[in-house]
Amino acid sequence: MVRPVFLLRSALAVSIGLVLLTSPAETIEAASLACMEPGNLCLEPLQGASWQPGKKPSRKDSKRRGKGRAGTLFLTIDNGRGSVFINGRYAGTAPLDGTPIPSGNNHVQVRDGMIVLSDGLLTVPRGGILRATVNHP
Amino acid sequence: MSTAVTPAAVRASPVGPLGALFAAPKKVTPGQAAQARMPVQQRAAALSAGGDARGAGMELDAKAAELADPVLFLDAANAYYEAGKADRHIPSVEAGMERARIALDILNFLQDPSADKQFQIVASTEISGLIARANEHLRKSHELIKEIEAEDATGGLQASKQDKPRRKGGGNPMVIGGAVLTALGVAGLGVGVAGLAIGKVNQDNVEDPTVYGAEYDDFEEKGKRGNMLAWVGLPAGGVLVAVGITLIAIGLKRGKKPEESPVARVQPAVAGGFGGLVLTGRF
Repeated sequence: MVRPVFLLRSALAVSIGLVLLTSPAETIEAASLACMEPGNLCLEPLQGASWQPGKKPSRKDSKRRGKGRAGTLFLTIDNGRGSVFINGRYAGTAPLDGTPIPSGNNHVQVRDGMIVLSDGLLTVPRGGILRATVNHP
Repeated sequence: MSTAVTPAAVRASPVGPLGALFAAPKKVTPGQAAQARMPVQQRAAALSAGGDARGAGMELDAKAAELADPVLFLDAANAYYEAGKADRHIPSVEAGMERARIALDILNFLQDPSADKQFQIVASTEISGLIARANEHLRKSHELIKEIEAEDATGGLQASKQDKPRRKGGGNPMVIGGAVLTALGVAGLGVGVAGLAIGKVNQDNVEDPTVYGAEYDDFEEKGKRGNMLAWVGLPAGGVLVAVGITLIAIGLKRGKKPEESPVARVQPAVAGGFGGLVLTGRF
């Protein structure tokens, strides 16, 4: 009979092996490919910042938002134009050159007329400077 | 012409609505928005009436970005269109089109479920009418751009037509070729005349009774050479001059302008101790 401790150790070893096998270059390439997908927003890596496409902020997020120091957003659109809407209001037309954005979870939508280019939840760390690119289909 | 306005130069004001978001009122009704836009609309109307449609556009543009107001963006679009129409200036028309597109972005977003329900800059019943206005603006702007481009193309064509005869007259290859052949012919005739002169001098020497023997043979040889030069130079030179003058005449006839003088001229000239053809001209 196989002991549970041995099973746990084996599972742990396999997991570590899989993590080591996936090289950083492949991870970056996969991220870039996902970034090129129409409708996706590419965010330059920044600690505490994240982009979750298709997600909406909760009521709790709205209450917490803007408690800390505001962040700054730079946003460009490749191969086209569009306007940016943050938390339900017009924020400007791309390119955004350092638009203030509340810290916390923000709803961001980028659209060109009737076409929604990007829609999701942008997490902004306190005082963070975020650089994002959207690909126009 | 007043300063050129490009879409890039008149982007949304840096004091955008999100900057105002932190201090903006939580609730905006269509009535409040109409009141807020009225003063800038009145100032813009005064500027337009004074002939400064572009200034009106910039004023409306800045306020539109500050208030996130699609109505003001459409007013700005119209002002830029009028400026472009008056000055026949495509970048101004394009700046107006971009304002109409921004208005469309906002109007379409206002119909999205994620739009802030507290922020009603226009009544929901007005949205479809404003979208139609923006689309109509884009349509007539495309037409105006085509119209201005056609005018520019016609102007360019007329300019190139005016340039063409000038190029023809200035560097007609037939005239140049004819002048070169004529110059060669004149040189050939000169060689022929020189040959005749050499022949005549040596003939006289040969007929001198004091000349005989090796000296006689020498003069006879020189005389024959002179005659040969005359036989070759005179006919060849004559043919070249004839062909050259014909080419110049044809070239001048084709490229001639009434007010212009001939480019090259060949004329006979006689002076003391000299007789022949003189070629004058400019290339």
